[in-house]
Amino acid sequence: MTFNTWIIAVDNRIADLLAAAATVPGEVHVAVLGDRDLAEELARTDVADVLWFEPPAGSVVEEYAGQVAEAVAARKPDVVLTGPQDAARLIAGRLAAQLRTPLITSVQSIEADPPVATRLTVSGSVEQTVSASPLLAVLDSPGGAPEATDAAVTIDQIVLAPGTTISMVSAVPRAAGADLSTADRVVAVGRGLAAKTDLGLVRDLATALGAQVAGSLPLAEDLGWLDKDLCVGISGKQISPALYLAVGISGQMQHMAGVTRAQKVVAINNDPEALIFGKCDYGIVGDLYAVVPALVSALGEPRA
Amino acid sequence: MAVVVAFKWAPDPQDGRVADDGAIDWSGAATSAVGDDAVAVEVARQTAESLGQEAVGITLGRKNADWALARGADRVIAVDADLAGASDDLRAAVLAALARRVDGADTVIIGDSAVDSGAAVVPSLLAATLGRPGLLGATGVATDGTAITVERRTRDAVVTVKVDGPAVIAVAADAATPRVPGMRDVLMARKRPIETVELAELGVDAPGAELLTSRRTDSGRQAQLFDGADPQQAARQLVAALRSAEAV
Repeated sequence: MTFNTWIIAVDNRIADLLAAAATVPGEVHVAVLGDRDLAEELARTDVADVLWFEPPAGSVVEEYAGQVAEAVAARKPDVVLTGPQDAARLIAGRLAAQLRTPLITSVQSIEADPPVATRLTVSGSVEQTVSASPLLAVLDSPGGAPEATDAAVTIDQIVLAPGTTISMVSAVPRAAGADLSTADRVVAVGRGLAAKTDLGLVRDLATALGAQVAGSLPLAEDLGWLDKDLCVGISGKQISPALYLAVGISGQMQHMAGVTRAQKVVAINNDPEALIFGKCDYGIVGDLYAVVPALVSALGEPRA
Repeated sequence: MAVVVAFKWAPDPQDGRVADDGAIDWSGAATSAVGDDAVAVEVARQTAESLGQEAVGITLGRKNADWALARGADRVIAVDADLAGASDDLRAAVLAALARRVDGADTVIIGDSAVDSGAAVVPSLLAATLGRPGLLGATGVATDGTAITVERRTRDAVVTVKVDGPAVIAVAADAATPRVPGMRDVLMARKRPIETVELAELGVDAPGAELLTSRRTDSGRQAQLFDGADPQQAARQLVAALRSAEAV
């Protein structure tokens, strides 16, 4: 049996969506909400065709979630895959309503046939396989930019009716924040740190590991020591690095829910009873002010 | 006219008892305000005040009505049902049905964070069910007395948009500083009305996925611990372990 599979793209990060779609027999189509460059980039991937929705210049993409969902629903998809980006989740919500099918979230992989989604729930402590028809899945990790093919497939453009509810007031560029969602290694710091100036210690460790710096919500929210974009946890980012090293973080569920998909979790904490020692792969029970510099120097030593 | 604030009010995932076969039991779980529910009600209160409108709370479960009133909701509509463990689809459908009971509820405000499912899709499902645009991850909501402006941080810009019509706005944890209600707020709240609705009255119907298999995953991490009494040695041991696991 073959299935009519659709990928919803709001940026070029679809490599893992393509890989998941490739497990399903049948043609794969991409619906793109974005500019011409994006549509053309995604046309040079391993898909049957591209359905392109171009938001009117200066408009706000969120307003068009309904129109995109309507057009995709009219093409009677059996499987729809998308990522966790804001605009993607809004389109997925609309599709759930249009197709009268459940929105399956935190999906890790897809198997066919028949199409089945593997997803995590209860903060990652339960893995379920579920099915629905049509199968509408939000994958946690949409992947990076796809590999370009030599030939481009057809792009069908759908003209969007200008929205009337949301209008752009201003867009002020800011320094592109670190993208934790694609980071391979992350060093996160929590309330165990005594002073903001001690962040340097953590940054040194991150540099030694080639990692990005992140933090717990209290550190950003209550203390304002880190940009709020760098919060990991249920109210922040849910990330999936190969290595997650938590410094002075106790390991409350609200934080750990953000790293259930990390491959290796390492904890440094001076409290042997800290919850995090029950949720990590490696740990050092000790004073971070002594352990972190020791780690930086150990990482600089040659391999045995 | 009214500003509606929707509370997700979910069980703490730590309270979900997971059996060895992956079955989830929520019966012992106490539901509580999700982190940014407190932020959502504060944003709704300020927005309603500035627009000269009513702030109406809609809640899943009767218990949280008092909580919402003490934090500034003018009145609350609560559905009298235990929705712990309910799917995001059902939560959103119930909230949408409650929002429809409020006349002139153009603006619906909800917290943006993930609850038990960890997926943060209730706001987008709510917007979809109500058939109106949604804005997720709002880091600021302001009004000039008539129009609402919403600030969001995208990957490379701070974007401010104007909302002119019905919309669902999901606010991030830093959109406002939640109020800690004082004794006076709590006493005042007792005078404000709570309307309780039976779930059956709402006539909601949410599609469910078919569960095929379920298993526990949380036994996955077995910590190998090193004693930091000798920091240099512990650091070397950790680095050696990470290197042999090819993690560094």
